[in-house]
Amino acid sequence: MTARARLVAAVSALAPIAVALATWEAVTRAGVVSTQMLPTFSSVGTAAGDLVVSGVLGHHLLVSLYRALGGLALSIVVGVILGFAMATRRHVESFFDPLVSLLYPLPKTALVPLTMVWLGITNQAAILVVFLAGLLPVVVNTYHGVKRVERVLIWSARSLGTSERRLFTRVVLPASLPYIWNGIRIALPISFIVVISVELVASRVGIGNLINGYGGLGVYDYMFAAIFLFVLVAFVSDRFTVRLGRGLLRWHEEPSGR
Amino acid sequence: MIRRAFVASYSLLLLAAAWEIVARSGLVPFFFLPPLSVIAVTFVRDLAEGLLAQEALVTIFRAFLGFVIAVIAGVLLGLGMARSRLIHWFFDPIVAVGLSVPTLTLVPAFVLWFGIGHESKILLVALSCVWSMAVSTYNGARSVDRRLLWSARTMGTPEGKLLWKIVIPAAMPYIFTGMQVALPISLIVAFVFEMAAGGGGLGFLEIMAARFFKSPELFAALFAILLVGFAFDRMLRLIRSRVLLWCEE
Repeated sequence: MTARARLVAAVSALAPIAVALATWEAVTRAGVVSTQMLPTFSSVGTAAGDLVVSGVLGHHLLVSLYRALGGLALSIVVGVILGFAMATRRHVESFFDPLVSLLYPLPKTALVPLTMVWLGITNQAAILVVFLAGLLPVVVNTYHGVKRVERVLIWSARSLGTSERRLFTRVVLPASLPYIWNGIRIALPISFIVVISVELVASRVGIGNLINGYGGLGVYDYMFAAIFLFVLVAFVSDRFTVRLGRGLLRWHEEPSGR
Repeated sequence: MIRRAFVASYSLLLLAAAWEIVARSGLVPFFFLPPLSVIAVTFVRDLAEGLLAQEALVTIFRAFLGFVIAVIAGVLLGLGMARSRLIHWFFDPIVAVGLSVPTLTLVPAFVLWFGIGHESKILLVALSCVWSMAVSTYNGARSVDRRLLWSARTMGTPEGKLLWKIVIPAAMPYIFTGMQVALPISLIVAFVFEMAAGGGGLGFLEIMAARFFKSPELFAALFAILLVGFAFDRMLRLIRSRVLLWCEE
């Protein structure tokens, strides 16, 4: 694509969102929707600017990101190890398989009150829920990835005298990486959702808490500004992961249909 | 049969036994981890009193109605996007944003707009689930084999019938995949909304138990949530296998 074509595509993609925002501004200004219910977009924009400049957003955002990414990192490390162990060791699989199938349908945010009782209103409690929520997608995807490594690859590597360790780093890990990545991509938005849930229910800091606090005080322009900014962060990080995945897994064919 | 079931779930039995022993040994405080047997008694008591079933029904009603609204709206939106370039142009970026937004951030806003009763929860559930339904329906409708459409058209099939007889059946596996993504989301949103804003339901029951350190009640509510999640999951799988008999997995 030329620079010009890219610009046209970007404008055409952003136009509907601009239309939606303009409609928001128009209906609130005209009084169709009371500003008690929905502040004007411009006042939300001003509030957003204030939140960014004053550093309030940064303070809360850092806490939320620390919790989300800390929990996610833990679930990746533990999940990959557990997934590998389940896929390669029979007794590990037979032990953990019933547990995974039992806990898979549990909406993990239901664990928020439990961690609240265990660890109080702390960062650790938030990280624990994020970890537990992100764990299963990583485990299940790693497991399937390792199971689907072509036997022929392993056989030929073995017959050529590859050591078990090298077999792992050079064959099994690269072959299952797309699946592991897929698990991480599923776990990332989950970690955001869980952090917000924790912060709405049991926290004194963080973006969820900030939003809830402004809502409780009735300062709605700031509440919507905080929502708006966090939505932006979530959207950008989602796009970033997609890009990162494409870069990391360039050698791998995209699975068709998705 | 019994032997096989035992072997298949020995780890669960082992963990349950370990839980009971550790909790009874006094190594951990009661509120931290009550013995499984105490939780079981609480669960049965709350169930017999009708409390659990009543709150569970409230949550299921909210989650399921929101889910159904999202399925209908999402399928319509997805089909519209697949058939009309204008609708696609307008909604494609909005769906992309909607998909990546943690809608739970809107809980305080929905409380403001719709209160803490059923409406706000049902609507937020619907808003959270609609995007994945739209995307999967769109992908499904786009995956229809062109030749099927051409041959149906050449034989004079009217457009409306084309939709019912070809496009929707072909998109059905995709729609079900969307539902499998959306259904757990519906439960998560309903539970968290109840925890954060009250208004009854299992989430509210659980958070109240946590606030008063009534651990057996907390675990009983947690198990009830697990059962609801399990039932939702099984139900969808069952329907999927019935509806998609003709489709190879």
